[in-house]
Amino acid sequence: MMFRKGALAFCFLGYLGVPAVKADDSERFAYSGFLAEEVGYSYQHEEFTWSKVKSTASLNVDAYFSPSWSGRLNVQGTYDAAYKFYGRSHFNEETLDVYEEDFRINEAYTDVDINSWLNVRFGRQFFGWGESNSEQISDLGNPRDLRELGLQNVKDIRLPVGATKFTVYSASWEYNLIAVHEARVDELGAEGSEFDPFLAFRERLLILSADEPESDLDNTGVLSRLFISNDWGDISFFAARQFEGFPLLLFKGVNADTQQLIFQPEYNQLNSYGFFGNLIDGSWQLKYDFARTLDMPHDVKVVEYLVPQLQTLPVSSVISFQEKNIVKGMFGIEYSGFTDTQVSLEYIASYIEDHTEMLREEKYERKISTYISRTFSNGNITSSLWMNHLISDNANIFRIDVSYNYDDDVKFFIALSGIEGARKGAYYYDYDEVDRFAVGVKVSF
Amino acid sequence: MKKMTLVKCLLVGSVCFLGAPYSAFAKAMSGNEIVVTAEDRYIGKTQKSELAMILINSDGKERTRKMTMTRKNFGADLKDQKAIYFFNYPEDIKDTSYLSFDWIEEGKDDDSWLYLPALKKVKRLASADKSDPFLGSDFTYTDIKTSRKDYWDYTIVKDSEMVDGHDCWVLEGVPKNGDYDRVIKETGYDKSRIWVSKDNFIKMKGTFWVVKGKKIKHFEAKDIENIDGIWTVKTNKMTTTKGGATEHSTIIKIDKVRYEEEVDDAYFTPLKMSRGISK
Repeated sequence: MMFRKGALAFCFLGYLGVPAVKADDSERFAYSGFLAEEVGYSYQHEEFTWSKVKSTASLNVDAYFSPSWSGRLNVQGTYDAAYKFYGRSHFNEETLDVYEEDFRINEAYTDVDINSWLNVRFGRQFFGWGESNSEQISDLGNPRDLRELGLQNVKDIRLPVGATKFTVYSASWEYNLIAVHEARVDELGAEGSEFDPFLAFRERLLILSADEPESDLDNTGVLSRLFISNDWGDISFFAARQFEGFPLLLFKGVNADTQQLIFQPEYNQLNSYGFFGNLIDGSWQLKYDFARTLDMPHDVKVVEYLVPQLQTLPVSSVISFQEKNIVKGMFGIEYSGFTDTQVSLEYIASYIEDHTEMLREEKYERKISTYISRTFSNGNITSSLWMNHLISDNANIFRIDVSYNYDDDVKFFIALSGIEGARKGAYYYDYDEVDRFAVGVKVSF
Repeated sequence: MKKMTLVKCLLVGSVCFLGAPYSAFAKAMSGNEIVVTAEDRYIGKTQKSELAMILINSDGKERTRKMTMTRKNFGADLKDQKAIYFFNYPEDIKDTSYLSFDWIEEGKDDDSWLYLPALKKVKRLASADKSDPFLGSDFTYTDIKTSRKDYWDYTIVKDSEMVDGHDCWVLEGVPKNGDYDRVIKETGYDKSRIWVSKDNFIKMKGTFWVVKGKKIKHFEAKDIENIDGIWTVKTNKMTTTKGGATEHSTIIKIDKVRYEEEVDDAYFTPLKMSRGISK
């Protein structure tokens, strides 16, 4: 739908008198894209070890109608033959729907400089904020692709949304006001797959399909940011009303036949505010990112608090969640002084205000995120390591990438990703066999 | 990802070869004065150009990176500089953008930002080691950003040598005030030699002794053209050698150069970076 709106926007702008380009067609449009093949081996599996044989085709069209008016369309299609090779009958319909093939419009927008201080971008787009490399603290505009629990390459994780973005700017500051028309939430792993986000819950609970929000006027999200830059660094202040990416499991009742408790994933639009920025001193960068989210629903412990309520209360009166404010923050440092190397270290913590024993989540959650990248051989070889250590859960989530540029258009890559060490009872405990080694090639044009 | 100061460096490197008929003054000049004259020329308040950076390994295999650049000088003496670069080839780095503010004030760090299409974010950068290679090329940050007069004491070792039809002084540079530690740390070199053209004060050639790995780098300026009254080197080549054998070389070609076009100050902002190439 957003693509059609974007196309209409192109036409409408003509009536605004946005000057049409006089350049010939060869300069007006630029085409690029790539074809990629990736093979993944899940070495911890006893079956379905060759778990990915994925072909990807991407096409990007940039349009330059005038020096102040441009547009972009990016589409991507994928097909994973691993399911066919292993036998499609081994997988449920949802797994095949989510992973076997996919076509999507990533970006479809038109961008106009109204004058030297006002810009408007309308359509499906990305907007990245925040200083954290690994956590969405203030970076609330775009949901995430979590179909592989976020273990895929970072460039493939962010999801665009249909929005209108106004930017007022000057040399040293910028103000963004964004109306998010598309109520898009995180894409989650399929039920029954190894990346099912509710894997730990399905043994005891019946979880229905998610009730995703409609993209209507009532669900329009709003984001606002003031960015200021000076000699010692950048700082931004933001406020947002946006759907949370990950759903709340809302209690719906009890299955009369199986006595299973029934829950349905539901999404809530939440208000947040905060600030983020950095301080620069030579090769060192100190970065920070803070957000306070109001009245975020947190589910209660099922056995200790929800089930006892069923003894005395009707289903409609059972309290299955409590709304609490949550503060999330990051302090980090980055160092660029080593040759061809960049190092980033982040300490991330969250705190639920007025926490009670009823809540399933702990009062504090802490993690340490490490990112190291290095290039070799005059930039022909690029390597990176990303690791999140979840302190409370004792879990490590990691990804290692190495790529080799054979020439300008051909790149070979390998990747190793996985989850290790989570303690029993922690969220990631059931995902200790998702580790995967992948190799691939990408041909660009 | 490393800063794009190399790109800026390439641009500055190309325009620092501007000149005018200074030969009338030249005869009485010292080595340092010659270099100051070469580096302090008016290079235009603004510049727009397209660059191609060709990286060549020891087997002769080439990789190319293409970008567009817009620069504007500020301040009372037009020494402070802002520049924005958009990479458009290869596809892997397409839409990557680099914004830099270079301040002439002593001790004031330059500011830079990088837009990473993969992260969809504009990121403020801390300073990289100035003697690091930029984007895997043979040019370092110092090669491009900092004028050599800040590091070197130059003396004339040869009064005349022909380079590509230009009569040149041959100057040798040693660390200024004997400050070997600082110069080596920030440039990577412990000695330099440059050939400066007498007719237009362009640096035609350069040789740099690299401390790490005991390598030698050779610089060449080619395709020199007077554009809008400003001498511009349209081809810059830096070759890294060891033991006489070529290890790697980088060629930067500059095309479609336009000076003194009107450029709004608000063009050099993070918003512009995320918009991609401006045409």
